Amino acid sequence: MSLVETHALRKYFPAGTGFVSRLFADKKVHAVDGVDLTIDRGQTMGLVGESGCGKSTLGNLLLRIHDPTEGTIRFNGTDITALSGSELRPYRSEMQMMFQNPQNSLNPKHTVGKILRKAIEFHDVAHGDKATELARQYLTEVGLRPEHVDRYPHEFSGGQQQRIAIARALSVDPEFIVLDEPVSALDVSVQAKILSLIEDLKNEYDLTLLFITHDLNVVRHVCDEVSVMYLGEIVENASTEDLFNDPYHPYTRALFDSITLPEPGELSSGGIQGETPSPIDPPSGCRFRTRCPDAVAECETVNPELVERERDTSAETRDTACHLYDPLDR
Amino acid sequence: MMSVLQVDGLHTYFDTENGIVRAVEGVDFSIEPGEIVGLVGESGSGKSVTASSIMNLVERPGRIAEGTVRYDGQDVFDLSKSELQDLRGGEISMVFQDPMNAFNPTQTVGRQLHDVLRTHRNGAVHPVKRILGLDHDEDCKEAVVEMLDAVGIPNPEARYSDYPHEFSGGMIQRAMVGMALLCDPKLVLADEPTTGLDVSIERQILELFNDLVEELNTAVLWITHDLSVVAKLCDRVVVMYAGKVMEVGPTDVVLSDPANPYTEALLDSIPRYDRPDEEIRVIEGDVPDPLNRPDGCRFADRCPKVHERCHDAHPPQYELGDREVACYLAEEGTK
Repeated sequence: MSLVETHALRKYFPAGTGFVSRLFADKKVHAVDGVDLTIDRGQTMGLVGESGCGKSTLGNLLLRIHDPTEGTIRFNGTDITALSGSELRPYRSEMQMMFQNPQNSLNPKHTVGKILRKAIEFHDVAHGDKATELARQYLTEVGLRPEHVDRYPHEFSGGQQQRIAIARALSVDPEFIVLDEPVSALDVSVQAKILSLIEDLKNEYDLTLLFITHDLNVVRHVCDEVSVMYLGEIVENASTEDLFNDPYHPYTRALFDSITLPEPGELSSGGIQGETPSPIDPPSGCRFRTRCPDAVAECETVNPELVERERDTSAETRDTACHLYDPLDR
Repeated sequence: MMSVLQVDGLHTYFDTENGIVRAVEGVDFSIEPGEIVGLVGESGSGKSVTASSIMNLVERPGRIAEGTVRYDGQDVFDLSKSELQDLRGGEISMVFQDPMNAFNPTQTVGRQLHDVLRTHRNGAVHPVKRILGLDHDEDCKEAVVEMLDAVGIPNPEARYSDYPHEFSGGMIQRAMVGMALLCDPKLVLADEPTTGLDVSIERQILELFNDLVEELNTAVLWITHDLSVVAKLCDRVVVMYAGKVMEVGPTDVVLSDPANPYTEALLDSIPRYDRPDEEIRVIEGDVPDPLNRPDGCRFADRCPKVHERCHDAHPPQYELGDREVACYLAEEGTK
């Protein structure tokens, strides 16, 4: 059963830098443009794409950090798109977020104990001494020591700070956590530890995760299902294994060609040419057509929908948005 | 043939309130003309301090405690301020991780490249001439436009008068590479130049470097934490850990058959999409506190192949084929 579900979700930001130009701007940044995404309970969904594709905005929309321009978000069956602040509050503790840079997400003036206690008390999980006790407990859970409650964030290394961020997210007993590039700022040896911690806690607490990243090597190891995003739209969605075994969409294929491995050798040819077009004025038709090696005339006029499609050469089908494959008759 | 760069016994220390931080503790390596050498390590390994030491850019409370850096046979630490000034940006240039911070946001990109070239060709310009705009040099401008074209910036003539914020992330990094190569340097120090870029853009920058270096026969020291980049770009690799060089050798040998357990552990901790069933191996423990490093091998406390003698003293560099390895296992030839 699905825990989080979006339908035709859109977020446009006014383009322009000043207050006035923003107010009167008729140009919009199409950050998220019609996304249908379903995350099943207990699943780790990977959301991948290059910078500027809208993956972080989508994560923020799911938690109602941004308000969507259009579309609906359902959490656990309830439509939370239009809920007000106080109505939303019970859901807030069910949905937590973890960011790329712990230096910016942990208040430097508060002790670790206070950082955790504030979250615990705000969501009425516990108060007073009980809250402190919980804080100690969750620090142990993430591999730190209970006496660390009296220390400040700057006394910890990047990896340890990320553990604190995990402890805070866990401390309000959430069902769903959005992890926005949680290991991108860490060294590889630390990254491996945090990934295995996330994996362990996910199983222990029966969490559902949205893992936002640009690193496909990490995705292969932690995600059950992957959605590939390009310029505000999801272009392909499949189980991790299927996607890596046989990517359908030309963009997914090109992304895979760009993955580097620590294996000596020449730079193989391939990869994506050029740069992502501006999200203010995205290309007509399929958004990837300007960089696509397989683009045909139809791609310029009709934007392919993300639906189940089949290919001539195999019996399998795939949710992808590309004219190269024929949609299944429904 | 003389090495472009020869670093011998380099020690760089920082005097802090809590004691001396030995950021770099005895680093030796060399770079030959036209060679790309990767300097790899995690944060705190001392790789960036090594780079600043090479340019003699270490500032208080840091100091070069010991060692020499020879550029073209000449000791960099013996040079006067003005001699250093000529060296930096001219013979040795740098490419930084964040080009948006390296460029002046209030001047056009073309103008900034023009000024670099002009200064190194004709010396500094009198400030009055500068204010009056009389320092323009048509030859320099032509050379800059040519360079912008060479690094793959479309329509370089028009882009010359664009400001840094008008460039995209990939394009501004290309311009940065162009600026570094403008004075035909013998050595380029590249400090994490592709970190933070998308994979597709990273790949384009790597290709660009590969082609240009081959064409200009420039030597490059490529500082990075990313072994995948080293694998595709570098001829040789220097692996650093906690201020020490752990392993130096040809990239293909070091990465396919690491002799130092640290190199091996580092490679094993990288998740790989082509090996989904292999668990990502974690290196147990933490990087030692720089104020209080162990007396023995810096990696001993975390090493899966540790022996008793490892705790006595940090191993010297043993020669093993065409590489040097700081591990007692390499001495016995058993690894």
